[in-house]
Amino acid sequence: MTPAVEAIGISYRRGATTLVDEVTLSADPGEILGIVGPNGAGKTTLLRILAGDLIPSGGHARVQQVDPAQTTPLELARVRAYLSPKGVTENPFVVRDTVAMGRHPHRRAMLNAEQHDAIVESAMERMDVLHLAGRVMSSLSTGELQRVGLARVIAQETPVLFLDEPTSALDIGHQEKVMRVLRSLATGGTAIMVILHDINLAAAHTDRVMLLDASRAIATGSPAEVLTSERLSSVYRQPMEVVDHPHRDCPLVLTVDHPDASRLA
Amino acid sequence: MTGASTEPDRRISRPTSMTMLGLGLLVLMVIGLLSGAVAIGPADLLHMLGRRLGLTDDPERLTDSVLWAIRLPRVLSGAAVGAGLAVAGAALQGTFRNQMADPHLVGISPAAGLGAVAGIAVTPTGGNPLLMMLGAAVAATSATLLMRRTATRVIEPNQFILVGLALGLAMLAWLGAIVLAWDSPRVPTFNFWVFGGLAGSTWSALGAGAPIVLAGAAIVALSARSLDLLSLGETEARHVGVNVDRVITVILIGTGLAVGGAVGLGGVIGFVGLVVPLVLRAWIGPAHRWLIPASALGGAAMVVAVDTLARTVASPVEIPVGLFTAILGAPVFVWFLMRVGRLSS
Repeated sequence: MTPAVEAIGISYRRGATTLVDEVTLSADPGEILGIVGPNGAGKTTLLRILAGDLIPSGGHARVQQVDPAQTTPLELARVRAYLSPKGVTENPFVVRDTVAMGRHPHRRAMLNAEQHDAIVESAMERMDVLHLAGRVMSSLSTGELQRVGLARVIAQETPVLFLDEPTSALDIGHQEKVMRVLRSLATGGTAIMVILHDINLAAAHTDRVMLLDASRAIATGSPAEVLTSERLSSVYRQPMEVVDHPHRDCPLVLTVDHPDASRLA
Repeated sequence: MTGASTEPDRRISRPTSMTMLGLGLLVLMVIGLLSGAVAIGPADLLHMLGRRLGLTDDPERLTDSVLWAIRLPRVLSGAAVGAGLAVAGAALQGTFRNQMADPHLVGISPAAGLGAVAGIAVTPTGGNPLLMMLGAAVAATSATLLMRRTATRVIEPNQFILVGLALGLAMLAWLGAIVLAWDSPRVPTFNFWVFGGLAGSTWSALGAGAPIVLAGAAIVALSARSLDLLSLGETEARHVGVNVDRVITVILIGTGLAVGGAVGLGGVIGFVGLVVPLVLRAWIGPAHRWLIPASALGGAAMVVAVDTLARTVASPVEIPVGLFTAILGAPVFVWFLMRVGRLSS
């Protein structure tokens, strides 16, 4: 199978600083690839390169066989959607109009207005923002803005999704709901790359995980392979214990007391 | 619509609002035609129109020539000026995601004035006003694109406005220096470049300026969807497929043409581009396919009305149009700044 997303030896340097150092990865259609790692590891920069926002200093990227740095915005918008950590920025429109902006790359498609509307409606329903459809964006909470952003991205109906911390502002119920929606999209053939800070969310809901530290990919594989207590404790400089999840077939990551804790107290 | 909808309640539908704006403009234009030093009634207006359309062979009256040679070009110029400035304001506010952006405040109108004077300088005595209009349009477009470069370097919306104010003051100073030093009867007085004025409106100026305003407004109107998407922010707009640099350049060229034509016709008039889109956005909503044409009608109505006041309240003395727009517009601007301050604190 041709990978939906492919990166070979991608690097990104700004001045003397290397933000992404020779990262190689691929994601297949139908796969959820989680990206985890501490602050400043290069997760967002990597995703923005793949999304076409940044031009890599070295290496090649392919999204649905096209080079994101060489493609027109419109063509790119038909193959990938991107969600920034803030979700969607405030704008003067109402929620429904904002979600409908995700349809822009397809407005020349052979669909009538009702079909576009139905896609927008369904995206809002999946992200639980249908009841907010007529609300102005400036009246929404941070978590609601994030869900509207997700609905906009889903309405874009692209074969590849790049999501940068899509659950950072969500309550635990909506976090799980979002991950279930992502799973159903993947089952339908979408390739999803998602940055997550919550390691347990990544452990439970992704097919593979890539752990980034200090600009480099230090491990890629199934959550059970990558998320070991030694590796996580060293990368996050925080002792961690990994046990089997009592109900789900995945690892469960627990923080344990730092040796410094008693001294500092 | 779902039950919990809180979409701004539009008891008046948008097509109805547009019709109301259009009719309002028409009424204000008729009032403008009938107001002034020479007493003219509706019958005189019909007489002039009947003669012009060849419906009657009645002999020409004095009122016919007053209407045709003085008032009609003046009222139409006022409409073109207002439409151009308000459309430009809406376009700038959308492009820069800054509701304080206005062609006057960010220095584009004063730049257009400088370009107009340069155009006059290269026009032979008694020549066509086209070069003046083109000079204004080129200068306004250059200033608009310059402000775009500024906007990519400053983060704070207020900083953008301050840079524009500084640009405008510098342009105005150069304009003043040139106009005062040159002291030629071919150049409108400094007053015209500070507060505007429609007293000198002629058919030939209208013929040169109105098409430029119209072309600029049409370019902006055709970019309505891009303006909507730009409200997401430039990065997000690119993510949904907008070629951001290209559409912004196109919109700003349209804006520059609209401002250039307007300044060439009416001088530098402030606050129209600020207040009209501000009020209409609250009335008909943020979608630019409605906001742009509504701003054209609303801006035209505002300048026609204000010009009628300007030449009647202290008749026979004429008060510059820009004084009135500032008297009306400045409080709205201050109120808006206070409201923004309150919202962000």
